[in-house]
Amino acid sequence: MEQEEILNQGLALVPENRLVFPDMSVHENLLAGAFTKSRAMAVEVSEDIDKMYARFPILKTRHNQLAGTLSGGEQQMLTLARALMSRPTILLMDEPSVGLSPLIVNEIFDIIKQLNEDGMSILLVEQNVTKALQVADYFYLLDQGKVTFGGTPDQLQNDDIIKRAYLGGE
Amino acid sequence: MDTLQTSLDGLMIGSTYALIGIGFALVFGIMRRINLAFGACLLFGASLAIYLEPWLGWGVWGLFLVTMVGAALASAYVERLCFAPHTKRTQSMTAMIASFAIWMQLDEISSQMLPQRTHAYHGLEMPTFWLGEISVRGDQLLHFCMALVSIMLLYVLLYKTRLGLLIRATADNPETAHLLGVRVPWLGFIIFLLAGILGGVGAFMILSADGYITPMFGLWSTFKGLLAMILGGLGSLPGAVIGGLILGVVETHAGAALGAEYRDIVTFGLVFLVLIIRPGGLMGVKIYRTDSLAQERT
Repeated sequence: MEQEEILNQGLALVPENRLVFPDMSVHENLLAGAFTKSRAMAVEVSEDIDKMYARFPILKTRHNQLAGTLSGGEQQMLTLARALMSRPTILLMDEPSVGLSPLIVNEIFDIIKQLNEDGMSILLVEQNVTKALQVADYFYLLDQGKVTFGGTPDQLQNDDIIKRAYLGGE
Repeated sequence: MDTLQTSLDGLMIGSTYALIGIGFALVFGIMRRINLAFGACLLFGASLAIYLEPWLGWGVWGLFLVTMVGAALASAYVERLCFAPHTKRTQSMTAMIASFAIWMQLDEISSQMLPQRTHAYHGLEMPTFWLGEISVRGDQLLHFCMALVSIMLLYVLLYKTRLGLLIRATADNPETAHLLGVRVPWLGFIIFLLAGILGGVGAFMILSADGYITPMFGLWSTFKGLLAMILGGLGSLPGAVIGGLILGVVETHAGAALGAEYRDIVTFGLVFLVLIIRPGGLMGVKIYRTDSLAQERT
């Protein structure tokens, strides 16, 4: 399936390592998120960008800045906002907490929780077990490519999961 | 006064180098590859223009049109044949070597079209203007304006249109652009066409100012274009413009001061010096891309 088709079907990826376009401004990065939207939808795209600025005020402040000059947390928000520009129904997030300070991680996960409560389905891949379980409705534990556990966050004690995930015990 | 005259002449010729350099820089900037057949594409376009002239009879502007269109077509041909089938990162050498082969092919086709060693390439009959003691050839002034307009149009395309946004995004990070739905192969084709058009303008400028075309034009324009791009910084469009202009000015001054034999030594010496002091060219461009795969944690 062509990438364009995938996006049109409502699947968007927030890639690992926050792949922003470093030499383009924040505003242009957001426009880039709407590449699959036709020229005729320019008004909707413009409205979507305003919505992103409302949800991520820091992006509005920095809207003319080159994306490469943003901090890690801001880049993560930009990548997330860019993915949202394609109006997905399912959001795939790949390790959003990587390389971010704990305070910023909290901020990001607050946004993830908010997005979910607003109706977005999110498939989150995370190594930060604690934070992931705080926001997840359901989770799978993967060990060496195999699913070793699946359940709701309250089904297993936190430390039990950590034991299984990192010490490989059963 | 002499210096001013030489510098002015240098800028005129430099603007043509800038256009050819942009042709190389567009392809390198977006696809991280050098189209080695680019100069030959320009030769093909110009040869086609002279070849078809008896039938078309459109005069100098006909030459301009066919040179541009011919160069663009040849460039698209090279893209389809050499670059489109070899898009993987590991295949960049394959693509470039293939384009080297097509260079030979296009050179040969051009020689078939124009069997004589030298052919007339008509220029515009225009008066020479005098500003005090400075003389400016009317046709060269027109060419310079054409180059200026071309570069401005390119700027508008890149920074004010949606296609330009697509191009810049793909140049910045092709993987991410692909992720966002950009059809990168199609974009590559557009880039090659664009490079051919701009190079064609440059070729017309040089050839109609000189008044003749030889089979050496393919190699010569490849050299000038690559030098302009290297001087300015691989893949940088402003760099190609600045590199081309500086190349023209330095070259003309060296030729005036030291004679034609030393002109090229000085030119190459300049590029050498710049690369030692500033390996990324005048615009300090990084020629590597931090690969996202390399950033993955093990």
